[in-house]
Amino acid sequence: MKKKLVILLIGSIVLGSLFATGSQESVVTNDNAESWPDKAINIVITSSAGGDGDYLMRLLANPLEKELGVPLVITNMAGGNGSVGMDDMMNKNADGYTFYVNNTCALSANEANGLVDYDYSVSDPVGVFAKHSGEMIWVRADSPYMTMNDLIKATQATPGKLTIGVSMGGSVYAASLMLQKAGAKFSLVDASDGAERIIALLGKQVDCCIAGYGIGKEYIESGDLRPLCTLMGSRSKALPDVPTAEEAGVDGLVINNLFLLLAPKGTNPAIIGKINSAILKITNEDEEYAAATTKYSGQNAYALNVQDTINILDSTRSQFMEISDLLKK
Amino acid sequence: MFVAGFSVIFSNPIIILLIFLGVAVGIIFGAIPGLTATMAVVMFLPLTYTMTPIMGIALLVALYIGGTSGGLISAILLNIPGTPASVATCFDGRPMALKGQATKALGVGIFYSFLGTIFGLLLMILIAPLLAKVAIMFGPFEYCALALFSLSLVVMLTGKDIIRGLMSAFIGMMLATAGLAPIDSAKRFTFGNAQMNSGFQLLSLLIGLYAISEVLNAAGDLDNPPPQVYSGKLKIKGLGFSFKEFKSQIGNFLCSAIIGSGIGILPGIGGGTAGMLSYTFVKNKSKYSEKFGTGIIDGVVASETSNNACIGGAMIPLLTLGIPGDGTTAVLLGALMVHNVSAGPLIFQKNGAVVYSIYGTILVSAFAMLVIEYIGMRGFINVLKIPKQYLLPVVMSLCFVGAFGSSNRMFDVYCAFGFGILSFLMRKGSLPFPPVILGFILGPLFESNFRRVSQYMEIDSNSWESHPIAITFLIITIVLFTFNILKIAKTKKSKD
Repeated sequence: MKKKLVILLIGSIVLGSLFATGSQESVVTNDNAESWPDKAINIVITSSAGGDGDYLMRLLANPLEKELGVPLVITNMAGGNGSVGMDDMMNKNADGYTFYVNNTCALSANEANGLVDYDYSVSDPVGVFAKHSGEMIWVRADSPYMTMNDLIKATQATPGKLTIGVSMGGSVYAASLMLQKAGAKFSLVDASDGAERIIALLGKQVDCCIAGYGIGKEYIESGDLRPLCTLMGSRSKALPDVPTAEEAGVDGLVINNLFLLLAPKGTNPAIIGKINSAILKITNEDEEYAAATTKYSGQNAYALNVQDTINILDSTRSQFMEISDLLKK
Repeated sequence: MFVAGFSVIFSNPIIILLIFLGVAVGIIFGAIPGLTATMAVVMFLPLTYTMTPIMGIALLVALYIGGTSGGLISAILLNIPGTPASVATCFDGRPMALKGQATKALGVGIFYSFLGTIFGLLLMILIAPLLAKVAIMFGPFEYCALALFSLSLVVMLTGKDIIRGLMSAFIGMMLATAGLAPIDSAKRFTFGNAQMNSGFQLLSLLIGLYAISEVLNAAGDLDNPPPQVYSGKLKIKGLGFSFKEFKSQIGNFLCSAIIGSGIGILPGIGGGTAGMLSYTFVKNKSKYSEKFGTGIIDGVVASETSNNACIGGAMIPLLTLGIPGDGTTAVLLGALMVHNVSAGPLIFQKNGAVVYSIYGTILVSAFAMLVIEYIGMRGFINVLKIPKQYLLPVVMSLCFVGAFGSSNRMFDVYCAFGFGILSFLMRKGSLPFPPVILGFILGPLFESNFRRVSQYMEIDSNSWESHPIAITFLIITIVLFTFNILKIAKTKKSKD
């Protein structure tokens, strides 16, 4: 009798722990927009913990939870510049309870450089919810380059000798290619992700690098690094004295990266509309959220409705597809 | 400000309670193979949003410390490392348990985990900014040389049977190539399967190689189980080992602590490698290196000191540079950001209070870990008494939960199964397991940095001259490697 009891206990522990993981596919496919949401919503971030997209989503999640009235369960599924998360999404039921965070540049860059063979239309875009803090071109504070012109002229004086730290394949790489197209003569060196590129610059491995404002801002204050320009279409609110790349003389170098929420294809448009309105409402009305966003990324709180989101996705896509051949090399 | 921040931890009983809670939960996560410190931190992160920064971060750091140290429990008792950091603890910890010295092994492991943490903490307090500068100096050249150095230690780890050791290491390296290549993201061995794009996970490999093979082994022995020797009455005198033994281990302790913190400071390597490197180093410099692997405390000392010193080391680039050293510190970085602590060069000026409170947290966590694990030792030992046929299914299911939980994919669980079968075959062929793990971790480290080195060399073929650290490592590697080959050849000759 005791043995049977033990086996029963073991069996229940085993089965219990297995079921604790939850089922991967949602059993309920009731996507009735009227009653949505009536249970917790999953948000999968397609990049790793600690990055821009991760942080900005978590920042939004607090007020969004209150607005929607249900808990938001946030997990990370990083890899392949977001493509691992996208693959997961394409196998998901479109029941309106799982959404994915990605950014416009990663989506387009992955398609343009051949990593994936699909574009954003494998999903139903829900809406842009934040601006990236902005990629910038950084040099060390003690370097002789005060403007982009100085830097580019220096590369032309010693072609191939000055190095710029980038990450091959993505939007940063595309930016560096555009720089070369505009006449710069850098040698492109891969220096891993944003934080590593800043370290490579500090450690004198490279002469300049492209990295996000969020990662490098501490070093402006500490006096170690200097940004020469920002790659966004307009100046960063936090650094009004730093020109945009175009203003600094590099035509066509504009990378506006936006974070957006995606839903599996076939999600009920009414549900998408509901969550999009909630995001827009928070962005436009929640002052605390806006302040926290600006403090982190130097950008205003920013969100777009569904149609504008789709337009932005289209224009970013064409921007990247134009240089697709260069990226594929 | 140092005193103020430090004492905040001690003055607030709630924080102390949180730390104890965090360490206890962390130990549980660490002890259960398949659940890791990273998962614990990720799970508790949302809970900390409503806490003050100091409280929230204290909880997460406590989880991290408990999680790293808890792995030694299952490593010693089950021969399954609870977390990747405890792989090397199996080498001598398990044989000690089989010899009936499980209490001693646990006592040594716990105490030296404690000492290792304190060592790492001291380094943080005394020379964090200096060490951060060192971390910056490590670029592709240095990492390349370091990876080669570490891989060469594989030879020394496997001792006489170099061929088999190298085979295992290469298997590990080959497994690591699956997925997207570094830098150019070319698809390797993905067979058109999207899930293969992120390659194999270390956790799946670890579970397959250690947990599943252990289960298969036990299944094979079911008809004639090896006699389990228990340490009789579970009375522990003091810490479980004598003062004389403590004195004899001081040298080993210092070496392992330095290696562990050193590896911790360099982002991307991790506690598991630190443990294995220390073990190999200590084994090599020991007068009785043949005894390693049979169950001596030196092995446990080396491994546990090192992986805990790694924590202190990893916190340094995390706090002063904003660069996470491994998966868990990456989540900690996110946690710091959520609580408005900007990790980076100005952290002492801007968030000094939080930094000093982290020092206090680590100190309290170390003591909490010591207390909790010693109290729990009796319970842990009893795990050995549970018949394997009841214990192992539970362990297995928890392992699979862990494998699934790391990325929420069944794919990782299937991989773990596959690696289990691989491990079975490897055991039949007497191929050692540790080099596989080393190869798996160090292979990609070497490859991505080597590619960068070649990029730099293309631009300036003399650039290697300005990297004295890298050159030093390379020379040490060549010297050690040759020395060991010659030593092994000599012993082979004298045998004939």
